Amino acid sequence: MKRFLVLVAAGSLFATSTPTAADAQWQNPVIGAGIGVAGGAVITMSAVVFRARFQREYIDSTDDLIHWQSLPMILTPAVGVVFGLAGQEALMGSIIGSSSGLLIGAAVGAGTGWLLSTEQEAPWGGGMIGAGLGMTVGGLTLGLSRWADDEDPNISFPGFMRVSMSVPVQ
Amino acid sequence: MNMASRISAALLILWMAAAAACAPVPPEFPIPENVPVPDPAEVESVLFLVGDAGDARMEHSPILQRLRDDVEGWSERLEQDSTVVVLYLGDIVYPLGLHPPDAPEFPSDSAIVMDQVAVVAGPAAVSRSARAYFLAGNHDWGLEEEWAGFDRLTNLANFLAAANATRGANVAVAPDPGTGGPHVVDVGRHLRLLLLDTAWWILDGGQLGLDDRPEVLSRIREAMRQAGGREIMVAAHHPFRSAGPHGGEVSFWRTLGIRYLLTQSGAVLQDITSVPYRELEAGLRSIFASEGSPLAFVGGHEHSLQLFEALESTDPAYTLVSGSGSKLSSIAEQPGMLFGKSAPGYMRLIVEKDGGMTVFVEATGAEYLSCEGAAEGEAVCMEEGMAAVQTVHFESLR
Repeated sequence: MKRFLVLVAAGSLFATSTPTAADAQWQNPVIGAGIGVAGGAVITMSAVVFRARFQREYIDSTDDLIHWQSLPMILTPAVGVVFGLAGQEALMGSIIGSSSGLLIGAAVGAGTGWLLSTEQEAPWGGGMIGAGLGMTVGGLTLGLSRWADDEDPNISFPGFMRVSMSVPVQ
Repeated sequence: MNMASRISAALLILWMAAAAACAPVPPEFPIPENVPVPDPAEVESVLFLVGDAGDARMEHSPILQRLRDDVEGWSERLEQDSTVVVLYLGDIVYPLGLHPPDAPEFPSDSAIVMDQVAVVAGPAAVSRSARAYFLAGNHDWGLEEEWAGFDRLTNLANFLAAANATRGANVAVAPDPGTGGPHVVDVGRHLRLLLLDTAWWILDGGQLGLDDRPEVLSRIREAMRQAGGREIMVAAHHPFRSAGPHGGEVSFWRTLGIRYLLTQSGAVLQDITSVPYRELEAGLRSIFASEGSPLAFVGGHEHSLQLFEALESTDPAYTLVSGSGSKLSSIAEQPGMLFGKSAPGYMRLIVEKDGGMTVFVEATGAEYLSCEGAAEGEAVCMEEGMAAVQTVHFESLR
């Protein structure tokens, strides 16, 4: 099962179909939103772990999730949609930046936790906090810097997302 | 498919592959063939350990009925009074403890408590003064910190006091609400029980100003020092260690890694990895290091049956988990595990007159957790479920 999934993952990287411009117009925001949901979960978990380790506020029931710490679950998909609308370069930049930020942040956080504490949860906690922080910084930094490289750096909304409004001017 | 789609698909599938590699493996232990039958003439006392029965109703629970029969049977057979003890190891009422009498939840909550009272309210149990101690679980505190939780637990204490008066059953919340404990109970000549309210500790009941953690630790130390030759058994809702979800044995796959990572990071309050839980463990270990480890630490919280031997010098000699009174949860294999099973059941500790102690693990099939609405009929299910109760493990502790 594991080998099969890895093969499918590798295969999907080399899939050869090329999107049309019209496809890309709706595909990119959808991909951005999808990645944003996953990223939002990571950043929310990171915030939850931060509050538990440093503020002694824990998850004890579902009510505890109704808190500012869950805002990334809404904000991050929205940011993903914006990067998707901005264009391929911005979207790719945010995905690569957030993925590499996640990995680097997790490694640095876990190492810091391991160095600073003897508790067995400390490397995990550090890794989780670092992952969220790294993902946020990496995704925003690389996404915004690549945005400027797009052929058309202005956000172009797909037709179905546009709202026309006319205001009479004297 | 553009590059962004490919990378997203690859990340998702790699995540799934990583998840598939992290599923806990349930242990398998053979059913013993030759189970020793204790001679009542040689038995000094009998202790029953059942936890997390807060969803069980007598008419639907083969385990509760079997426990009542077992308590009644041993109450009849033993020579001395007050030698049969039942420890309800917390989570007496799901989901949020016993509501006050004017609350709409009170009728159903109180019916659940009365079914547990009924276990020690049979004619022999009452006449031989069988006792039941109700230890607080996190749900009995209503999952609430501070006064709201304290009030919920006080409702239970008041209710049991009334049941004591009306039914003649020897039942009480122990330790007293809001105090943390320990409540010391000497059973026969060989055993001293230290009953703790670990939910008080974990939910930080100390902020109520009634008690504080160093005081509780100091009293535990003192109770151990004054035990004389008695073996110490510490009982609480939260177990000392566990091979269930609260002990970190969480399937990565089932929650897409979320619960797994939060548990490993210590962000889930009721898990062994949380900071307050670790502080409790550290406090107890410091006592065990200086006073010697207790014979056993008994807990519920996990909805399974587990038995461990010590791995470290500050571990209790044995750790028992009995929390499958009305719910079931997963279990994994861990070092030092002598037995583990996710099945409805309870434990019976037989203390012999010569000081020998043997624990018997009684369980029935998982399908008999509750017979409410059973397809084959509730009566048939109850009959089959009770007949299926058997000793799935026994261990000589001393």
